[in-house]
Amino acid sequence: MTDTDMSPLLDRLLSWSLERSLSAWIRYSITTVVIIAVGLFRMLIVGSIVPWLLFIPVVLTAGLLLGRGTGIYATLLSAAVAGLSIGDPAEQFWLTGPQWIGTTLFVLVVSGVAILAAELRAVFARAQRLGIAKGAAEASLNAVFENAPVGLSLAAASGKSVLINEQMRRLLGRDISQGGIDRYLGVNAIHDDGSSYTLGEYPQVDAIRHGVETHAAPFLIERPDSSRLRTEISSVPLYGRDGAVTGAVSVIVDVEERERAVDHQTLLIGELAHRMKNTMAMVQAIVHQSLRSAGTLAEARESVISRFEALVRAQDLLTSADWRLTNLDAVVRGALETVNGDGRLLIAGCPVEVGARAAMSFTLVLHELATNALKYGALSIPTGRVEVRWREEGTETGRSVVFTWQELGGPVVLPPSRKGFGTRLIDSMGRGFGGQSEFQYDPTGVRWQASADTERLKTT
Amino acid sequence: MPDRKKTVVLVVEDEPLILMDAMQSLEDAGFDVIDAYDSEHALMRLSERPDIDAVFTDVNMPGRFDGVQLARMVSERRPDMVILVTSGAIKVQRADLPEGGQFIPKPYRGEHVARLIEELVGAGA
Repeated sequence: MTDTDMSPLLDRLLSWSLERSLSAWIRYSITTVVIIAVGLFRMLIVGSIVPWLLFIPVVLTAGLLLGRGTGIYATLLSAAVAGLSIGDPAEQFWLTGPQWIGTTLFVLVVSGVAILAAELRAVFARAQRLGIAKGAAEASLNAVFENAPVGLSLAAASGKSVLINEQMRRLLGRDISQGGIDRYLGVNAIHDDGSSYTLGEYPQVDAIRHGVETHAAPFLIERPDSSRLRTEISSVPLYGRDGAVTGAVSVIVDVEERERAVDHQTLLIGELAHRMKNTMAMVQAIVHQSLRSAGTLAEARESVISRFEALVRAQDLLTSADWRLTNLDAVVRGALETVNGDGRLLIAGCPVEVGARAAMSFTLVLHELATNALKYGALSIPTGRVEVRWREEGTETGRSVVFTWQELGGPVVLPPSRKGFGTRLIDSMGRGFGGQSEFQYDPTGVRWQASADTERLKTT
Repeated sequence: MPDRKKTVVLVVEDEPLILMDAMQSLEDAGFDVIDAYDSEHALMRLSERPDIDAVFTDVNMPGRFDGVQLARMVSERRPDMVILVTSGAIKVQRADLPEGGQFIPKPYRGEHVARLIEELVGAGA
């Protein structure tokens, strides 16, 4: 039952009557009044023919607009009023036999009419509720469609657009709701090499033309502002009862952020692998060199282990700085942590930032210097001390850091006959960072001075 | 009988510890070793020492040119030069290296590098 089949007046009357739901006594009162009025009218104008006829529309209306109870009441009251008006006081039972039969028939048949009218009313009420529910469901669906954080579109079998949500327009950067199936070319999807999709390559077109389903396929869109957006597209054909394609639904999801995160992660993993290999190479060098210069296996073990520990401490420091720049002061203190200075160790320098390479190299060098100082140098006697200082200087090419390790008050140290791990490393150190390195066995004490370019020190 | 002239190798590496170890290994193998801490320093060394027979360089270094670019530049100036390129990060493709250039991944064995240089220099001589 659709609205177009009923007259608008009846529609409105029914709606109004359903809405208002009048109280029982009003309904019955109105019915009573109308029936009595019709009865009177019939008596005065119509006369003695068709006693019940005029009441039928009243019952019908009562049933339709006021409900079944009122309809039946109207039937009974009409019969009574009609009976009263055609009756003869002279008759024994007020009405003649045929009149009684007529009345009974009237009551039976017209009750049926009243019930039918009431059912029609109920049908209308149900249809109205269904319509309201459908409207509410549509409104909810619309809200979901418009507000979903993905691009949604619905196309007909001809390729014309049925529905497109705002998010789709935003993702595409343009409006492709106009036109037939060619409008998809306006999406401007491209392959990795920059070439545009042909019409047939669009998943939406594939769904409509060939019933092909696409699920979360990578879909690169080039927008009017030339920006490229990485998305994933799903296109599914819709079928009618006869199995023919009636349209297609497409969903486009913006995955640009996710892809960037993946790219970044790949980059980080590459960096990590690189760092690890470098660290491995350094460890190999430590072991190799320690074994070469050690006299006994015990010495070798000791020197490998203590150098490893120094390297690990430097790595911990770097990890806490996310392997970015760290303070030279922290590096120096970390490297000399295990050296029991007893106040014999002075560390002073300006704020300098160093990268992973410099941090690890400085740590190893300082470790060597400290180990030697403890074994043969200033820290081997209570009166000896060490001063570690550094400052920044300007040069023609940039800025450099001048670093000094000065032992004082220690025993006289003679240069060894052969260059050990420590001295070799120290030499390399200086040169490695674009500067110089000088190691002297002064009578006052061992002295190492190195200079390094501040920018070089920051390399990872 | 005069000593056979030692093969001269230029080692280009910016990490001091690795540089030191590489130099040590090559010295032990009987080479004469010269160091450089980046490409520009390496080019400078090459002009100072025309007697350099081989170049052993890392790829990732600070400065204007990386090891692969250095290899190409060296090959242009001295087509007969033995060039060995190493890296912990990138697996350098044969196509990236100049004619006669070789790649060895990090970490490497010093003796292996020495032997490889020995072979390549011998082959060229």
